[in-house]
Amino acid sequence: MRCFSIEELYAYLDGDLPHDGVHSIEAHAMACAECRALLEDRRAFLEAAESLPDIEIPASFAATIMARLETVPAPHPRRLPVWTWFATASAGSAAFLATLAGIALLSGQNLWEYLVHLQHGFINYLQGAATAVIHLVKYIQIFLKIAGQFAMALADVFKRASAFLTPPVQAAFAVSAILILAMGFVLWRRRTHSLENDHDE
Amino acid sequence: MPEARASSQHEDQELVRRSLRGDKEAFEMIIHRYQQPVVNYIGRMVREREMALDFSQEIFLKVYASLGSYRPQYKFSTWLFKIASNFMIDHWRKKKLPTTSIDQSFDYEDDGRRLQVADEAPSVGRQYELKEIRGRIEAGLDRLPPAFRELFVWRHVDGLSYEEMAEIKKLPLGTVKNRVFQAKEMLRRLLGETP
Repeated sequence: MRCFSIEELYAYLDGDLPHDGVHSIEAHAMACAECRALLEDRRAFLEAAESLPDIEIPASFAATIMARLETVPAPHPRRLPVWTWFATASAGSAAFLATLAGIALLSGQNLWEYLVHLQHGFINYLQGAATAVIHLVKYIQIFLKIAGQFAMALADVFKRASAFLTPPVQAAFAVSAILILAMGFVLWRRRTHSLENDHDE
Repeated sequence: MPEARASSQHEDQELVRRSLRGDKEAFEMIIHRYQQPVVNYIGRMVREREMALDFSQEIFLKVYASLGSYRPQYKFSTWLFKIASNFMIDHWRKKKLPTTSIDQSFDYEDDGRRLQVADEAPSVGRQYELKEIRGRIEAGLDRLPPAFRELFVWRHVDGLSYEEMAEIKKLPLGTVKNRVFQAKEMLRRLLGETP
């Protein structure tokens, strides 16, 4: 049986070898005086290293740090960046519109009219609110217009498709679209999460 | 053992949560849990007790101020030692002390990769008593390049796992194992030369 390298002997002492490796080294050390001596030498070295005395810490160590905490800014829980909230809201809106499209497709309602009705109601409600939120309303209005146009286009596609698709197939199509959107959102979250981690490190 | 570690990790995370809510006693408990490994590490890096205590206090203040950026999916001790390690890197940069990068190859027998059995160094176990070996290790640590000393102390004094060290230093696991091996053999050979 071959003699082992020092690296392998350390791995053995570190408990970093598989069972077969442990058995091989032990069997070899029994038969080879040179490897046995090397093993004992490294064992003595590591035993000494791992029993080095602790550096003495005064009893006031923690109290001294606690007294100095006032000099550093208090920590705050980490907050998600604004764009994360925006992206989450966008993905939620997309899922909502997809659901509406599915409902409209199944029920035969005109999605555009429904959305316009929602939009008008929403704007009327916001017009009565404080002037401080007027800018926000405009952004939402623009967003709804874009989303409405998108939904209109989507509904048109569904309308054309419904001409030759049976209701169960239509339903399956709507559910699939919602699931794909949801999966896309989950994958996007996982990716941005891992990118954030890489950035931090 | 893994259960104990998981429990300890859970307790750490609970202490962090409480600290973030303003519970200072919780942070004091964090200090008590980690003061010894941190001081042991810093002490073996700067080789001066008073300086080690001062630096360790600074590190705990940094940890406190940064608690909000700690993410519970990571082990707290890994995060804490990363802060301590960065503190030491900044210290050496400010002092402009010559350091050996962990990425540089070290001029060592057979590139330090695989020492074979042929070994001319006298046996440590036969030559010295345990107490004397400890003294020689302490003295030999002074002569070990800081990047190697750091890994040796983490592994064999503070008992960090190779995986944790790889996470702290952002190095492949195999590289960390190899560097710790090199550090051990460098130090062991220095024992014979240390008066």
